[in-house]
Amino acid sequence: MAEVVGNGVQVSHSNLGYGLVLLGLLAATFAAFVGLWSGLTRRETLLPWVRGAVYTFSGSMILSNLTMIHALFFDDFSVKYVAQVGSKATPPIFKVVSLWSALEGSILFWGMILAVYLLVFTLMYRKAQGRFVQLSLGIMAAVAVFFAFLIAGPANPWTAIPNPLSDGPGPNPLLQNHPLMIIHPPMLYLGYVGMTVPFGIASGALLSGEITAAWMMPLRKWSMVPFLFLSIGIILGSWWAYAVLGWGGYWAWDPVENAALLPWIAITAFLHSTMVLERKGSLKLWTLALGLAAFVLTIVGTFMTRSGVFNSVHSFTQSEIGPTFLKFIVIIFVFSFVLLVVRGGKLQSDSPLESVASREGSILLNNLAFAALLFTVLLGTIFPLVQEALFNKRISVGEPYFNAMSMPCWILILFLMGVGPMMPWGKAEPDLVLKQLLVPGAGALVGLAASMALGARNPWAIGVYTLAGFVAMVTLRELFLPAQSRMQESKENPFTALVRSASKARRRFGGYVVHLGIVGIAVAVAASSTAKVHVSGTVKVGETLEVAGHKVRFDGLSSGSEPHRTWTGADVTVIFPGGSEAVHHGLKAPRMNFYERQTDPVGSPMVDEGALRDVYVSLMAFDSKTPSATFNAWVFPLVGWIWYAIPVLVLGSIIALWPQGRRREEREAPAKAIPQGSA
Amino acid sequence: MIALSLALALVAGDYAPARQGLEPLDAQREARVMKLGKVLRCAVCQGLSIADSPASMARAQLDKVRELVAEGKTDQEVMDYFVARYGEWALLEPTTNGLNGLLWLGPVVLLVVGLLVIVSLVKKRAPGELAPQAPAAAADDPFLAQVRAELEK
Amino acid sequence: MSKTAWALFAVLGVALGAMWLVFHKSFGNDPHAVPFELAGKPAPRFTMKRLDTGELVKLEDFIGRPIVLNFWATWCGPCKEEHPVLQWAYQKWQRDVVFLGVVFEDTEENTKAFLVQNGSSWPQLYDPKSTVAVDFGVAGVPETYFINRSGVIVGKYPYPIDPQTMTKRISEILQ
Repeated sequence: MAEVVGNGVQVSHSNLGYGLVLLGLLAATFAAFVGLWSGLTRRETLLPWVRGAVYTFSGSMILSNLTMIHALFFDDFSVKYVAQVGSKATPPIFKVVSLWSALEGSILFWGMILAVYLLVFTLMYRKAQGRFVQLSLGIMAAVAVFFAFLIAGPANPWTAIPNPLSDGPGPNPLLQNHPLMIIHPPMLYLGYVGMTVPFGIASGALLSGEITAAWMMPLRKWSMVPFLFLSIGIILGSWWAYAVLGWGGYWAWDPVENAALLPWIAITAFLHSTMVLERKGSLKLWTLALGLAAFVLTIVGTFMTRSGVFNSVHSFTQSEIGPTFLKFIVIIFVFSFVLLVVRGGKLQSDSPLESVASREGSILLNNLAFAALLFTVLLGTIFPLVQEALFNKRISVGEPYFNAMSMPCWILILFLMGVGPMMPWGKAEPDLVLKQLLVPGAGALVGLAASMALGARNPWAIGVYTLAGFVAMVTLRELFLPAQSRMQESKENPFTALVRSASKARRRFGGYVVHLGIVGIAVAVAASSTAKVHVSGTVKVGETLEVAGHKVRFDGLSSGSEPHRTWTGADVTVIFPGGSEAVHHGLKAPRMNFYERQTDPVGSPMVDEGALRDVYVSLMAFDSKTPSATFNAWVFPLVGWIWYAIPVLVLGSIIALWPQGRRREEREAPAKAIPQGSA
Repeated sequence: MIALSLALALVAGDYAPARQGLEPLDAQREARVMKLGKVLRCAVCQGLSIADSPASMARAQLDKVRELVAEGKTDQEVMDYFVARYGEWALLEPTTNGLNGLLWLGPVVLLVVGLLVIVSLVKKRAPGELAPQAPAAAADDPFLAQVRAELEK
Repeated sequence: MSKTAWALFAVLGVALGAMWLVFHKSFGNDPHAVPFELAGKPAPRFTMKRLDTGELVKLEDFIGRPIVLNFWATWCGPCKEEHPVLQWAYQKWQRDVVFLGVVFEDTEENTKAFLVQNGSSWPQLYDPKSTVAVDFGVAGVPETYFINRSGVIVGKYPYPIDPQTMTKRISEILQ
């Protein structure tokens, strides 16, 4: 792949890609130093230099990634990373996916996403005041320095191989097995890397000592972005696990899953406490600490999946980058901590808490629940390491622990999702709250009655359904009541009323839409985990396996081959209780895939998706002489609602993030308010 | 190439590492088996329980649980069988002994302390001090005010 | 700086120290390694069918002689790799040491076809429901167990075995 250019200089993928990384490292270092120094010493004239350096970093990082994609696409096995994950037989789309399928490539990809974030941030604030941009960008560029350094040194994918082989092993078969793998990691990375921006802004605010709306507004907005992508990434990841791993579950509290959940918990808590900060001027220290923690936890999570010290389904192989990551964690941890302690005095609360029975009180409780959840997940994930380091004792902390310990927190959070919006800021008047309770109370009763009628027996599940009915009604009322009053007062048609009321308070409206999605997920998780039905057995051709009224008929074995794998499937027909049939033959059948360079087969389950239930069949073994097949079959009620919630979360987040057309401050509203006591 | 020919052989022949397991016990004892299966870690998987894992070794282990339950062993004896082979590593639900206590108590302590902090944050007003302007506090939430106005009609 | 700040920094220092210690001790450990607690304990008893002759073989049949017990399956690539090493070891130590292969998670036909193709002079036992494997605390294929004269498991090697390891481990059970 080497080409001779001009006067005999050889340009290879390796040289070009690595050169671009070095240029990016240089530019990021310059941006970090100049940005922080000029921001702290108030030299606004240097801002164009910072911007220029950021553009250079972004440009070179993006080009370096494009070079790698080119190298992967054209099978240039003289590049170390291509030799490691590439193969000629890999289908083109998975050649691109290979970019993030192994350690070095995933760090390179991280660098590109960071470059895109920095680019967008710089372009968005090209007219903003100097100090904000200088300090925020300075911190973000410092993070970029770390990643560029990783790519240039410990995780260098660009090493040239002098005598390249003519073919490579291809990426991990698990990653080639499902189209979700194309979209899921980029979403997750957009979430992870996106945490850099709120970290930059929050650190910048603390460095400058100005905790003002000018800093808080962008901080909130930029926290929504990683929240959204991380939510999507986590849900898609669980969907992938469900659709590919074949054990009939979507969440196993695996370290890699916990690694994504930790920053999600922190940023979600942040998005709630920031409301208290904005309205009451209190919880400043706590809110900023959550914002910083979300980033630190992102790096901790990345360390977990890439250091090779955690046992996990998708952890990358043992690597050299663990110690480097650990040092970075220490640096950002100390930096955040010192910043908070030193600036703590400036973060005095403007107004005290009057009552726990208030909006701010419910948000405090929400934050407590999230904090307990965060602590549980973090503790459970690292505890085996602690036991081994201190007592040389190997223990496991698995699903039973995490389920038992996190369940009360989740229930409390769900409860507060209903109670919180009913509480006024300041102090709640009991009779007023009680008056509001009628409609949501009815919702709770419907949830309870429906769960009893459908035969739910698990007390946790019944609790979730009841609370879901309650929260759904509260949320719907918050969403539609303003529109209804507009319809009555201004005689607007329903659609106009809804759009106008929503656009007047986008964050509130968007937030409640997200809540609706979360309610859907809560119901889906409760139903699919407590009301699933599982059957396993061996059947001959023509025989059926019955699971929860659904019959799975074995129609015979089929097989096929593709360039990178051969497979054997057990063709099945699902016969529904109503008598209708769904045929799952060939590639749609539960299969075993045999990859060219892997000895163990990789199973693919068959999933017959439905709005109310999924029929899920895994092939465990087959015998071509009889012929017979051994299946694991499940019926999962409502499980699809988890993934169907993604568009709702996206819609809500987009509404919340949609730029306000005219800068109309909400302050003008109080004129319409009526005194609370007048009832 | 070796792997490919192996794969082809398997496609032509059969893949049967997973032998048929034992028949399930009666409903009551089978429920016990599944409950135990949920807390025992599969030896060849990544952190899955032997009840969840599709690996054939996990089903052999689950069969062992069935066998031990059928012999009339208690839950503790069944778990001890696996601990004798794999140590406490085999238990997905960690014990409460020693340092593990921290694992179970830590989050609870955090919740309790957090609750106390929140309660202590509620400002105790001196008798002479002005009552809080609750109406004003409510008023800076135009939506809530609107909602309330709606309710009181 | 206030006293609270110093106290907080002290807490930070301790937390960082603990974190550093824990993670540093973890580097290099294989998180996928499965603990094995049967070393030094008597080997579990078993009765398995010999694949070539069909006779039942018991652990007690070999009391007083050291045993090398190799768990494997035909679909496992590394098992194929270590097959010649076992062959070599059997030739070398067959007078002093009992060599037993245990095939689990596999079919009889597969195994017989494999043995015809690759050859095997030492007895192969068949564990159709993997019960013996579970009793021995097997955590993958291939695994080789070393049992001394008094029937105590001295240790196991949970990877494809190589001649050096085989020599070293056999000398341990010959003592």
